[in-house]
Amino acid sequence: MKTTISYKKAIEELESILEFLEQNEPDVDQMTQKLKRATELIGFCREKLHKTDEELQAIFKELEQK
Amino acid sequence: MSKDFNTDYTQANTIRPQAKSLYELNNMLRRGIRELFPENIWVQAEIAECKENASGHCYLELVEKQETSDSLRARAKAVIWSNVWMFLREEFTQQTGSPLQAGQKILILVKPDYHELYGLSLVVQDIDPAYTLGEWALRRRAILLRLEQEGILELNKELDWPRLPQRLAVISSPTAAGYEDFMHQLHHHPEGFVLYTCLFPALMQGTQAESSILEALDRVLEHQELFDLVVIIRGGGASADLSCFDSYELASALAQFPLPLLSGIGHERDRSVADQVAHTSVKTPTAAAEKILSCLELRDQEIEYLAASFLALGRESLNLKVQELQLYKERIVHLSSAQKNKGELQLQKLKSVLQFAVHEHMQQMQNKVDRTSETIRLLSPVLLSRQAHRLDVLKLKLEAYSPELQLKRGFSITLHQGKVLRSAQGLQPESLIETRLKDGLILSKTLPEQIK
Repeated sequence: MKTTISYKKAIEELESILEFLEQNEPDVDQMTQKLKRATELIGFCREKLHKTDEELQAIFKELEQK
Repeated sequence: MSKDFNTDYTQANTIRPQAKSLYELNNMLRRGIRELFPENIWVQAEIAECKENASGHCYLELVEKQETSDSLRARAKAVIWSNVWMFLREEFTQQTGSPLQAGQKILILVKPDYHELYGLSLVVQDIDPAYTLGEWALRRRAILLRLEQEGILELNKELDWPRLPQRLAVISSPTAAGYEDFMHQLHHHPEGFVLYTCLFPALMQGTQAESSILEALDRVLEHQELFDLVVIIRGGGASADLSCFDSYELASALAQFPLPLLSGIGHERDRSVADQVAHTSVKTPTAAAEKILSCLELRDQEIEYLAASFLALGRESLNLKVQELQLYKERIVHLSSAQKNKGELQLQKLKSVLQFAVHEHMQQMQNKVDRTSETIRLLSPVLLSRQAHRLDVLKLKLEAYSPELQLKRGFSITLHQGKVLRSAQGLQPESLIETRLKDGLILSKTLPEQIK
């Protein structure tokens, strides 16, 4: 998921899930599935903000030394 | 021959008895000019060259150009003697933000002087910095007008500001105090946001600054997909030279740059053209770092808000289901174990997702504290306790909503023939029903008069 989705897309998806859950009355299975996905996406967004991408950091270091 | 020669010489003396020596002529010019200009006179001119020599005198080459072309209309030498220069230099630099240099238009109070050996020279007594500032304003306005006519003035501003400005291309002088301030601010904040910076070194003042910044921009362009934002910063005192940021070529390149630009080039007086074409401009490198951090803070809040919303939704949905089940409870008579398990399974599923979400949320909070504790440890203990208190409150709140607690609070689920009992309708007397409580099962049979 990390490589295929952008932060912007993640937030958009979260917002649409939230909207869906607020406007519909999903059954237990749907609810379960949506909440699982939301938890995943939130984890991804938090990681973007707080967890260092070592690979990118290395690329930047290399660029600086050129 | 020699006779003839002598004759010619005598002849010259006799025919033109008033011929002067060059010195005499120049001396006359000197006296004439002094008479012509008994007082100092204000002159406007452009500096073509400006040099300070070892003894502290400042020598200027002044020109005036044709209005329509760059060809010269007038030229003169000027000098500012060191005793005057030491005061004027400071004053001019302080008021205009730039040292006296080639290309500037100036208004000077001069005394024209003619020296037999060195010719005409204007001895500068005073400079009016307000005139130069006014000229710059005009020049800036002309550049802005041209950019507008070319339709590129607002191009950078029209780019979307990055949602997550984390990958930064920094154009700065690596040794500038401003660069250090910027980096320090970015990497010492309690929230622990991850930021990536890549420095593209450039000269930020002097005559080579323009080409140096343009080169740096070119290099950023080669890797543009790696960056969210380009930051141009310049540090140092107010006396430093900012005039390179008022060039058409630089402004044009900045305006058309495909990544949004954040400028923090330190303008206490007017905003330079570079500032005006950049997507966003702030006054100092520190302010630039703050701007970026505040964006990330917003994103952080956005995520936490979403997380809280999902948690609330899940809780609400679970409560609804529990309530529904309770309504059916009284009418359940009988249930098969297979169907019972199915209902149980559904509920269990929802509960586990929520527990997972609650756990995740608390884990995140814990991580946040772990991450920031490094920084907070260095800050005041007051801050630390506030942070810890916030976490405690959050933890309590979260625990209060756990699904386990819903059952503990006395909610129960009633099943009939393996199905969750949602309605008393249709339930036969003497039906077997099963009531699930937090710690076990109650099997019961409805009485005949109980079904209403």
